[in-house]
Amino acid sequence: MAANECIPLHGHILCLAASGVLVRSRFILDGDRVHGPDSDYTCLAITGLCALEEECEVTTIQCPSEVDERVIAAYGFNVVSEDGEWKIVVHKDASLSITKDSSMIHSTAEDGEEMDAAFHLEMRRAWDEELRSVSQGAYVSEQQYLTGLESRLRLIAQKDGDNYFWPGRENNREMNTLPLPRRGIIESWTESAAAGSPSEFAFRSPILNGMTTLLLTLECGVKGVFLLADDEEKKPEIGSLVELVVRRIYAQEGLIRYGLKALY
Amino acid sequence: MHQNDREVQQQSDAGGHMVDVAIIGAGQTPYGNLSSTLKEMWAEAAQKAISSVDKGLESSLIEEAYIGSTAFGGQQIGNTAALMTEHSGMEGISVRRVENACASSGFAFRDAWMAIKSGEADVVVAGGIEKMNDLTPERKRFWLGVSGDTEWERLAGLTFPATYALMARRYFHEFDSNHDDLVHVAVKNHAHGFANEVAHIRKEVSFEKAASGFMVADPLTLYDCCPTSDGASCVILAADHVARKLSDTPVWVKGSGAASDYLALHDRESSTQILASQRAAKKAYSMSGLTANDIGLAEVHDCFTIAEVMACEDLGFANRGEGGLFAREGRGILNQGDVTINPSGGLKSKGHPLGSTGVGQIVEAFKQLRNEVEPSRQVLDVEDALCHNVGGSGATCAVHILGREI
Repeated sequence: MAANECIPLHGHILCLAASGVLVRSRFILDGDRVHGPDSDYTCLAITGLCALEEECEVTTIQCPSEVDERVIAAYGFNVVSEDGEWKIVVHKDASLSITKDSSMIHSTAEDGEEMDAAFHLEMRRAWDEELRSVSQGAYVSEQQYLTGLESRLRLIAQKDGDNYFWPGRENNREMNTLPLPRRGIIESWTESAAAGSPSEFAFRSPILNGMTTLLLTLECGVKGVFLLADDEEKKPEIGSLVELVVRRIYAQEGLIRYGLKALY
Repeated sequence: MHQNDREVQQQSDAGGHMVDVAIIGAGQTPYGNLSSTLKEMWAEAAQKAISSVDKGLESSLIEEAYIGSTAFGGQQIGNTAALMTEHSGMEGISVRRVENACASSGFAFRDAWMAIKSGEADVVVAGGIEKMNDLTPERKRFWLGVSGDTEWERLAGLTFPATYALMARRYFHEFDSNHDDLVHVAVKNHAHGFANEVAHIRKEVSFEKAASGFMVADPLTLYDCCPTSDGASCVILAADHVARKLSDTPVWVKGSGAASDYLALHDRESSTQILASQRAAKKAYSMSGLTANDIGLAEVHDCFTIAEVMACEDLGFANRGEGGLFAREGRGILNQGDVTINPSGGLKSKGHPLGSTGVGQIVEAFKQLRNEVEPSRQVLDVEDALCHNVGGSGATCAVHILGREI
């Protein structure tokens, strides 16, 4: 099945077809599509499901092993292990299709950005090393990460009258909750030097020549801090509006941890 | 109820005099990259404090000890205080390690003060220790920033330089200020620390050099950041009736205030002021009956230069939004304005062994109030001093006001 129209979405490329959606990384290396510096199939899948949800009701989803179904579920989609209405099918390159019949959607569009080969290789090695690393200091356990994942990905806030709390407070559990829109205004930002990032990022930060963090004011006045998505080198501006998209944050003890990053 | 009213009520309830507390001895190691171990550093600081008591102090008189430490690098995280006191002749007494990040020993001092104030003890030790420079670079990196919000801030790539960088950029955005103001802070504190024999970095820097440091977390450069130091500090507090017997020149604790705020910067009301500092200072001023105008010297928590700019506002030395101007006009330079800010060189030059810093500030104030520092950096005619110790990026703060007279 061929895709009709392709558009940028969440820093990826989304192609629509009659049978579903195709999501492609926007990065190309020697003619092949490769994942961005902090992206993978799970990130592409979230983008595809969000686009699909705009078009129709997405009841149940079946994920392949390359996609972290806990992340998909935490984002708000109903993941099932079999007989899912929609199936995510990963391609050999950095793209995937979401269709009802497990078919693949293809596009002949050559749109994308060329990625440096050495950079791509270094980043892949860094992620592999990071996955094997263990913490000797500050630590977020798998349990803690998974417990907070829904709040992290959906920006679930607690509401008490005109007051909003995000991340939620344990003593506010009786309050109503609601997801905040995934966008915010830049209140401040900084770029840490290559050697200045937390140890969780120690393998990648030198390759990226530092990492940029934004302090954002989200809707309803709550604030949060988020890394810049795709490790772009752009200098943010205070007051600018940014969109929050799902990306890899870091890896440790065999687990990739995902979260929202700011697309600027 | 107002703090002073509460004290009066307590005195009335007790039917007697509420004890005053004084510092009768103080000592510290030099700060820096030291070859001595934790135990050696603590023993040195404690011995110096004990031997500084004017009329001598039998260590058997010490009833309790509170020692601040973050146990950086994982060195003796549990029962730290018991280990330290067994190496300083204080075996058998009630001991406790106090941890509130960089404000650990500011709070240890407050706990020691409260132990006497409550009537439970007459002579109590407060101190702090940290060993930061004997770790591998990898291990050091793991431990730097463990006192920030791990789940949300750290996973957004923030270390303390980066968190304070967010504050600095926002501060420049909101007020008439820029990085030059931070450079003035660095130049001043290096000039002050140059004459301080216990300072980690005894090196004066020019404005041009401080303005051109390499970027650590944009807009903060190397010269905006304090060093990671080894060091220990110790003070001996005593109830008034003991203090007057053992010391000719006790330094009185006139006010003590402590407070907290949300751990993560993004949860706080403002990113350009430290509310915990304001709250703690308000309590300390109220208890002492003094205002910022009465303070002749202040040791403020300048872990980063922007922290000193904000502290000068939070503590009342500068109006809101004018901390940058305060630095630009040199109003905190030794003996040039109404108040000298960081005559020791501050964390920026004197150094920042995390758990030791708070009591280290008090050692400096104690010596300044007794005219015992190097003559070239003595604050003249000072009667009252303030010590301001912040934990993390502002989650905790302890403020103490000390004076020659009670």
